[in-house]
Amino acid sequence: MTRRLTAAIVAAFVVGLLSFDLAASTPPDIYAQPPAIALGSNAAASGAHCASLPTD
Amino acid sequence: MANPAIAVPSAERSSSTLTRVALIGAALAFALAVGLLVGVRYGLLILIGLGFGITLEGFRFGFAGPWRRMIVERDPGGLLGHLLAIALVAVVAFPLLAASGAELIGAHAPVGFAMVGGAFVFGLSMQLVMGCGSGSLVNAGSGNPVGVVALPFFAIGSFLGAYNLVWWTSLGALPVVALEGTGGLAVTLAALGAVAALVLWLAPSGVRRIPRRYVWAAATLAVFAILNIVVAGQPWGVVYGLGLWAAKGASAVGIPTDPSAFWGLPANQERIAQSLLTDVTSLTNLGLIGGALLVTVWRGDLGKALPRLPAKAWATTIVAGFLLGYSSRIAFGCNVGAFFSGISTGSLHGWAWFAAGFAGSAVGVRLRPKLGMGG
Repeated sequence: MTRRLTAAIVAAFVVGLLSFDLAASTPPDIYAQPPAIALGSNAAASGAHCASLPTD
Repeated sequence: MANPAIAVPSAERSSSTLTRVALIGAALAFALAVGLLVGVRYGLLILIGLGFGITLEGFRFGFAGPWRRMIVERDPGGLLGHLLAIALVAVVAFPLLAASGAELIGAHAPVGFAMVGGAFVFGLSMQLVMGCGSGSLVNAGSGNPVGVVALPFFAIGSFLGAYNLVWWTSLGALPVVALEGTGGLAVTLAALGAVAALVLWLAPSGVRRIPRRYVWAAATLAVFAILNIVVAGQPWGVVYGLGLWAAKGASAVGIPTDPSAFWGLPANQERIAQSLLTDVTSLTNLGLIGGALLVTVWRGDLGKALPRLPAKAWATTIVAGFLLGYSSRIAFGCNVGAFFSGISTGSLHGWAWFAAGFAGSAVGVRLRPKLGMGG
């Protein structure tokens, strides 16, 4: 067996994850998208980060 | 130079070229589709993630391996590369954070008992599977079977670590300390320089340098890390996204997430309900996997045989994968979110993470042979 097998498993995992996500999540709204670039947008950063405090 | 005696047949070569072109085209098409159908920022973050993955796999520039070489061989090259990359990001990030108000945020978190303990366990576990936060994704993308097995348990651990994060933090934590402005940058660069001087002093004279490959890798990684801040408004992170993947899975099978003081927060409930294609760290994580896969295919490394490891090694991989996820959440980040992004944006917890994670790595290196993972 070679890495073709494991790489294929990972590719299938990613495809499965995205398929599940699109089926189970609120559909993305293109008209509610944030500015393309945060810097200079005048909008507060809103993404989640692993260093974020639970109270944020 | 190619050896004619082992030249690849033209049919196989053209097939390989076709595969390369198809994969690159698929990656770019995916980023374009996300940009057009979900949001431009999200498409850009896929491209940035691909950049991270291509850089780390292309230059073979990880975190676990260089730390191991420093511990075992006193070879400081990779660790110096990390310090260089962090310094390059800091030089740009500090002024950006100072000037941008709330548009950009740093990776700032409190130092605490659980934070330090979590960093120690993470450092230990990353040596067992030779993969950190970014490394586990890159390893999985390159078809490394240890990375492939560790990744889902990493995600589950990350979900559960976040689930209990408030309890762990309540054991005791200092207020958040973040260096800022020109003074903060000067202190950060001086501290990075001091660590570099220490590791150079510890190293044998013949290896007191950064290999050119690592200089390029550090510079390239810094460029993508800065782009991450500019585009996303926050520094490069990994483990929130992995925990979110498991949280969405838990939610789908009826496991409630709202009793958790962390996952129950409105912002996190919204993230669970929304698509992963709108989550910053999920997008760069997917890019990391894709970038590593692209480089692996480009090199023709998919034909490498899978290693034969004892059952003990696979059990170690599962446990270490879980611990990587759990510990990185209670440590407020992994080697990326805490060490790399924390220090480069001025957070004291990044330095505490570095010390505890390195101490854990020193233990992990010694545990590897006993757990069937090789020397």
